[in-house]
Order: sequence, then C-alpha cells, then structure tokens
Amino acid sequence: MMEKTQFNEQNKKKNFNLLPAVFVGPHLLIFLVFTLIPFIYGIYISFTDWDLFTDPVFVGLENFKTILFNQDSSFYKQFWNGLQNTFFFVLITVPFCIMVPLVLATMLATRPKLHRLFQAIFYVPSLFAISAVMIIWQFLLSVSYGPINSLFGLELNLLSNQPWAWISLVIVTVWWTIGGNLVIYQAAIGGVSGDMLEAAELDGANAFQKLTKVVIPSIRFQILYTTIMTTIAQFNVYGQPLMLTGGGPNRSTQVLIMNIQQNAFGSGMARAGIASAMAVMLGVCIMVVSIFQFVLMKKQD
Amino acid sequence: MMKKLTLATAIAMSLSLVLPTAYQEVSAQENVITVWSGVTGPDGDLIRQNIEEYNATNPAYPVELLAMEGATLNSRLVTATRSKEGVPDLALVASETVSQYVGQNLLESWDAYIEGTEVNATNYLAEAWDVGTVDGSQYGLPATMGTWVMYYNQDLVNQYVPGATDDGIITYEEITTAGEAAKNDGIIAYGFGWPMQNFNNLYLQMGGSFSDDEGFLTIDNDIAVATLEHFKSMYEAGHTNKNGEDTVAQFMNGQTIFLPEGTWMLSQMEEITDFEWGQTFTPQWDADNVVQASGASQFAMFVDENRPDERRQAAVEFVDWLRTNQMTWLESGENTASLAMLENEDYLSMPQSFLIQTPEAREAIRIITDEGSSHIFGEIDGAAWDMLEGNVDIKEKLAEIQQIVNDTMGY
Repeated sequence: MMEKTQFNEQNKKKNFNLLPAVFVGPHLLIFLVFTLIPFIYGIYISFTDWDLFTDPVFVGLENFKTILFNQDSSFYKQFWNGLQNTFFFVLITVPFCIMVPLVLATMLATRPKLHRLFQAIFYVPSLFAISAVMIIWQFLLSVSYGPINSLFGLELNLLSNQPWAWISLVIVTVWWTIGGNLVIYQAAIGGVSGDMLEAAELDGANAFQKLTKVVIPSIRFQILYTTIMTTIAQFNVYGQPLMLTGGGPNRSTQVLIMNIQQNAFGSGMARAGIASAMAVMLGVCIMVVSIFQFVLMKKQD
Repeated sequence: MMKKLTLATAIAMSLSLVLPTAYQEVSAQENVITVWSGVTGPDGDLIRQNIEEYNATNPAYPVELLAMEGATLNSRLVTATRSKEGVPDLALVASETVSQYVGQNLLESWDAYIEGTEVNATNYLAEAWDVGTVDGSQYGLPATMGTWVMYYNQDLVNQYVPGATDDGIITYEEITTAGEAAKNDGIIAYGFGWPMQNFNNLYLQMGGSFSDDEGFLTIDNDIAVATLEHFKSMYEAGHTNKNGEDTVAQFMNGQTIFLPEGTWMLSQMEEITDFEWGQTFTPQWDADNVVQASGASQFAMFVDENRPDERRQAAVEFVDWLRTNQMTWLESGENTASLAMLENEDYLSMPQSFLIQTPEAREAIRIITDEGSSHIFGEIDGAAWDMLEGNVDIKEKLAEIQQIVNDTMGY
C-alpha cells in the first residue's frame, strides 16, 4: 500500500512538471516564428519568381542556374562579385578579430595599472549599435571634416579609394568586435594553471615562451571556438560596407548580403526569388566553412 | 504552492508578450482614416500637424497618420496587402511607383469616389495629376511636389559671375564661367551632391527619356553618356566638390557658389546668416527650354475588399480639404500640386512657390513616372562618382546598368 502511494505520487510529479516548458516555451516560439519558419520559407522562395506583392511563381532551379552559370546575367555578376568580396572580407578580418583581442587579453592578464579601466574601454564599442558605430566612423574618416585626414595632413578619401576602403572596413570591424572575444580570452587565460606557468618559469622560460608554449596551447579550444564564431559572424557582414563605403568604389566592397537586400527589398520591383537563391548559396558556403572548422576543432580536441 | 505560483507567473508573463499587440491591432482601424507615409523627421511632423488641423474640424472620420522610414513603408505595404489585414486607407507613395502598383493590381481606382467633387484634374497641376492616371483611370491623388532646385550664394555670384541670377535662370555655361574664375580661390562653382537628381535634370534637358519607343527602360544611350561626360568635365576642371565632401556644409560655409538641392532643404538654408542666398531653377542646359525634374507624391488606395465605401468617400473628403489647407505641410519646402493654393498669399511668399507661380514655370515641370525607373536612379547614385573620377568607363558602366535594369524588370 505504501509503495503504491509512493508510485502514484511520483507519477503525479512527472505529469505536472510544466515549469521548464513554460520558461523555454517563449524562446522556442520566437525561434520557430522568426527563424525556423522564415528559414524554410526562404528556401522555398529561392525556387520561385516573386515580387513580394503577388503570389510566388514556381520556377524550379532557374534562379540557381542564373546566379551560378548564366554569365550574361547581371545577377550572376552580382552573386560572384558579392561572394568574392565577402570571402575577402572574412579572410582579412577574422585574423585581426582573433589576434588583437588575444594580445590585449594577454596584456591585461599582467594586471597593469588601471587594467580594469582599459578592459572597460576595450569592451564598450561592442555595446554600441552598428548604426551608431558607422556614424561615428563616417565622421572620423570623412574627407570634409574627419580628424584623421587633418591629423596626418592627408587628403585621402579613405572610403572611396582602394585599398583604403578595405583598410577602413577592417579597422572599424575589429574596433567594434574586440569586446566579445576579449572577455572570452581573458576568462580562458585566467583559467590557465598557475602550476604550469610556475614550472615553465623554473625551467627558464621567458614571458614570450610562457605565452606561446603554455598559455596559448592551454586556451586553444577557446581560440578555435571564437575563430569559428567570428568567421560565421563576418560572413554575415552587411552594416559596415553599406554605411561606410556604400559598396564602392566600383562595387569593390559590395558584399553578398547587400545584393540580397537590394534584390529583395530595394527600390522598385523586388526579385525575392533571386535574392533567396543568393542567400541559400551564402548559407551553404557558411555551412561548409563551419563544418570544416568544427572538424578541425574536434581533431584538436 | 510556490511552484504553482511560479508557474502561473511564468504563463502570465508569456501571454503578456502577445495579447496587448493583438488587442491593439483590432481596435486601431475603427472610425479613423489611416494614412501611411514614408516621410519622417521634421517634415513628417509638419504633415502630422496639418492632419491634426483637419481633425480639429471634427470630421466624421478623423485621420490617423503612421509615419515610418521609406523601406519600412514598402515592407509593411507588402505584408498588409498579402495578409489583407491592416491595409491603410491612404498611402503616400512616390510618383514612379503608381504605375508599378497598378501593374501589380494593388491599387483601387478613385474614379467612382472623386466624381462630382473638387478633387479633379481641373484643380491640380496637370503634370502632378497625370502621375496618378494609369490607363485612363485615376489611381493617385496628388499630395505635394518635391523638386530639385538650385540654391546660390548671391555674394559669390556677384564676385565671380555677376548678373547670372538676373533672369532667374542659370545655365551650365554660366557655371563654367564661375568655375574658371573661382577655382584658384578655392571656391567651388557647383556642389555635386545627389548624383541621381543632377543626372535626371541634365539628362531630360538634353532631350533624354527613361523609356524607349517600345516602353522599355533605357539608360544605355548617347544622351546619358553626354550627360555624364559633362559632369565629368566639370569635375576634372575643378569646378565641383570632391567625392565624399559634404556639399550642404560647404555651401552653408560660403565655399560654394551654386548648390543644386531639394526644396526640402529650405528650412536648413534659412539658418544661413553670413551671406545673401537665393533659390532658383535647377541649372539649365538651354535657357530657352527650361526643364525642371520634380516628384509628385500621391495618395494611393491599396486594395481592401473589407473597406466600406464611406471610408473611401471620407478619404476623398480629407484630400479635398488638404487641397486648400496645406500651408503647414508646405513649410517643409514642398510645393503644392493644388491650383487653389496659388490664391493663397502666404504660400506665394514662400521661396519654393516660384516653381509653379507662372505658367512658364509650370510648363517646365517634368515628373518621371516610367515604371521601374527607380532601378536606374539607384544604379546612377551608386556609380556616378566612379564615372566622374574615371574609375570606370562611362559607356561600359551604362551598359552594365542597362543589363541590371533589364534583368530586374524581367525584359
């Protein structure tokens, strides 16, 4: 009798434990409505010709054939130019987005004077909205009244000439994103075993050797993780080239997401099908790169 | 007990995310005419004030304005028309979009509701009224006209090209004269600000058209090349600003003689106190054939099967009232499209009114309504400086733009 009562009570507890579902539910609902469903719908739209207002017309693989193979089409040129610029942006930005915060975290780990103040200064830019960041840097880099030109006695248009346009984009991006990786590296470096560092010191290792032989190998997982996440983030670059360079000069900084946005939501007739096809291809590229990096991370582990 | 309380609180918080929005959506549309506009900032505030003046007359259907950024307006129109929920009674749309929306079967005709009212072709500027006419039916009712004009620094004109402003028409030849005289003093003759507007005006003045004989958009032609070559020659001669420079700031600081800009910049120009300034037609290629590109925003009625006829009629009543009571809105620098306002002395004293005061001025107005022309505008804006600075060949670039337009329009 006692056992039956206990069994029934345990059953009751299992049946009425809705609390976790209620807390997770809103997020899942939002994820479903604003991410998963649009994601699936976007893939469907990539197989259609759609101007947003009227009903989509199914066209099969035509959009993909156009952007991948039809060299006479402007959408082909847009896609490959945008993809090339996106890859280039990732290649030149990600190393700096990793190395700069890593160097800063290493320096802060030595706890110099005012290290907490510097920590805050380095972190604050990552709190700003992208539009605020771009407005600030537009003024700083302005050919009319930017202090950078005045300070160095230059007459350069840093946003409309190469290679300055790319250099400006990299500097702005790194400045804006330092904070995120910085705190991860700081935490990781703080977790490095003091015994290992002491042992290295006893063996005659200098500061640089301790950094390269002890600290960095100890935090390699965090470095790989941040490399993957930074790579994915930079593949989605949009605000910086849109607001700083406008995709110029001569579309040399026009990234793929700008083309996607322009084709889907720009002025005039929308070509949402083409835009979705470009977005699907960009997603495939990001997935391939991410899988490669995850495999690498797993091997390292 | 504590667990049940926590559970109840969590459910209440979750529901609170959804229910208030749903409730607001239901109650928003009753007994008001909703107007969606892509005009925000101080100009948007003036439109709102004008609408409040209308509401102060206690109409049967007060008007409620929802102002938003242009891109947001387009997105919301898409979702409203596709879901058939929350479709506005009136949407303030740009000139060149009326024919596009009609082609997509998104607009209702005003014909049945303006018949017998003062909202008709005889009471509006012909160019502005014709923007809303598609295949013989009226799909747009003119609101205001935004025009590309030219502001000039009279002090610098007197110094470098005296007498140029006497006849109220400034030619590119006079600008060149001013440029040659002023460039060694570091003064800019021509502020090249918004490329598309400058291009459109000169292109039309040179005899260009945005559609060919078959009705397809055209930009890859000799006149477009000549237009851009002219701007390039001005840039190379040192008569214009450099890429990236703030042309409005340069003008307001007394560094520029002639600045083509929009009538909507009026309130900013009125802050100038250091020199005498004026406003006139956009620079002309031929003084004997004045052409003035303009836009005429339209009140359009998007399709809504559930909209009762009373609301459509009430919307016409609002537009009719606006026809003779637009002063507050016009303080933004916009021009009226209503001929009734030409009898308003306060309006006639506004600087921008010169654009429609005389029959000659009204005849000079050209409104670009070619379907899809906004694609050309966007591409010109993006590529103009590359062409002026010689980074790309003009003919090749125009051919590329033509290809983009053809592909986007599905030709």
